[in-house]
Amino acid sequence: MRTTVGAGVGWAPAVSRRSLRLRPRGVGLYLLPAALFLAVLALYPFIELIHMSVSQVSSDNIFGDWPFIGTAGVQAVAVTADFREAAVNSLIYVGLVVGVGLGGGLAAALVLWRGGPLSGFTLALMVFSWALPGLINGVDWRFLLDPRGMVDTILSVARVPPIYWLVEGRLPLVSVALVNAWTVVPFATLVFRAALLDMPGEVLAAAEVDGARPRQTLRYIVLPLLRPTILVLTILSLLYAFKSFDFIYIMTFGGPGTASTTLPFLSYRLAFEIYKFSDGAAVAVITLGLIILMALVYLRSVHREERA
Amino acid sequence: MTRSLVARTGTGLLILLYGLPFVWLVATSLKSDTEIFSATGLIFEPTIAAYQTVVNSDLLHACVNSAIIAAGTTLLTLVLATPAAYALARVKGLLVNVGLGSLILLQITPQPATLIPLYRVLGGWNLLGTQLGVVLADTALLLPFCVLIIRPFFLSVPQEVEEAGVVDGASRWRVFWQIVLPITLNGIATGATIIFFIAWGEFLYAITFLSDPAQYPISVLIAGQIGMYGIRWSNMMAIAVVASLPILAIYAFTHRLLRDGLALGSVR
Repeated sequence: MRTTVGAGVGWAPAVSRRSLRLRPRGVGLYLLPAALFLAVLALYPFIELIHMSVSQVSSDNIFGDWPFIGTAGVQAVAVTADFREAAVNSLIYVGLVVGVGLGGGLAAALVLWRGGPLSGFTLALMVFSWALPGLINGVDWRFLLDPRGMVDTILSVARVPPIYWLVEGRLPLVSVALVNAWTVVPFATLVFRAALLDMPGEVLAAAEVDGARPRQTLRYIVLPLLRPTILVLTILSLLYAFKSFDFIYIMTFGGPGTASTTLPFLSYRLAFEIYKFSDGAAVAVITLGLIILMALVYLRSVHREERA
Repeated sequence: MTRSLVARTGTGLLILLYGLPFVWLVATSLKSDTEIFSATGLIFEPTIAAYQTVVNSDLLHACVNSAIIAAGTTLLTLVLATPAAYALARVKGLLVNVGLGSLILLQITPQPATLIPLYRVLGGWNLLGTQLGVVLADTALLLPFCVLIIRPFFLSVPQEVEEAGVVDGASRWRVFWQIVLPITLNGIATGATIIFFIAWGEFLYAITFLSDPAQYPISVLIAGQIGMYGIRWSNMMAIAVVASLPILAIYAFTHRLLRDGLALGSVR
């Protein structure tokens, strides 16, 4: 900021290249509308959420005063059986969405990598299911997993008796997670595909000339080159899966009982089924704490990639 | 030889895995109630009875409501997100880190956690029960995401292009408006498409903040009926097909944009 020429938004024609690039003041104004909007409609609600989690709030005083109770509420809710079950459910859910989503995405990207007559169509078909709202995919799969639906009908050809995917034991949680993963796969495919297309052709050609088999090329050349992509996708899908909500809402509503209730859904149920607003907020705050931990890892990894 | 065999089998599998659910969705919407129970798979006598039942003025009205909410959200989000994304691509240092950090923090907040505070804010402005209120809530939900999608496109604009404009005496605003924006149109269109799709399917804010059924978007019709016992599946699937059509229509024009734009946005 050595020159004060053209203070404000205006730009003098004779500024040096250096100051042109590093001038935050004028450009900062471009941030202002979004910043103001988010401050009122996103940051303030966020602070209210934290406020609620350290207060005693039920349906009696939701519109009145909120007595301060400190971290007692957060501590109390964290030791309940419901919370523990939801935490375990969240782990299973996130693990399945990330594992199946990325594994499936990598496999699909490798299959579609070299092109071919149907690969463009296939990709477009897959990305369509990503583009559809979770609401519609959820409704569709809720019926597909019904005993009269697609999956059991296909299985019945092999004389498998009907399976109650959204009712029995841990199956509902696993089913919803797999459906969610089904919509993550196309996104992962796109990102992996872009990384594969960016790969240096000479290296791959050299491997082929040296007589490497496809499996060896994949293991020793392609996968190591994909490392940064895998890292970024892992964190992105982790963050996404942890807060995922609409598939559970539409397909099982957390049930039967609490069998498919994850942490964000527990927070919702506490607040809107039994009106324990501060307990719901406490669960949300704990969930956020966990997510922030992961986000920090993400920021660090991105930072490292950008520097590399 | 074996590679092409693996690729062909894999492609076939993917087409089944991603095509069949939609085929089944449409097929179910064309079945009579009795045929749904008799588990006839894809061999049945199609009937448009379900469509005749569900496609009425109420459903079309809900589609119009969805269009208003989704288009309003997309417009407002873009107006706010585009300059912000540009700024975050051009400024360096603490401001960017704080900016991106807060955006990611908001982006990862589970949506239900914002319901009660937003209810109070919108209530204070007398916007509960209005579609404008839902548009504001949806915009707050999607703005961070939109900035994160669009920013990489601004990052990829060479500084020299802008410097040339500045040297020619153009104001910063003109450089942004007349030089940078046209180059990054693809990124903005990518962001717009994704925001529109998500806003079209958003139901939690709409179901919470709206009270008059005449204002409900189609997503609320679906989400509201899904929890009830004895769902008429053919009707439900017919509504789902109707709700998917606008997305399909837009997707037909934008899928190449999404294919290339999404990878750019997430890898950076």
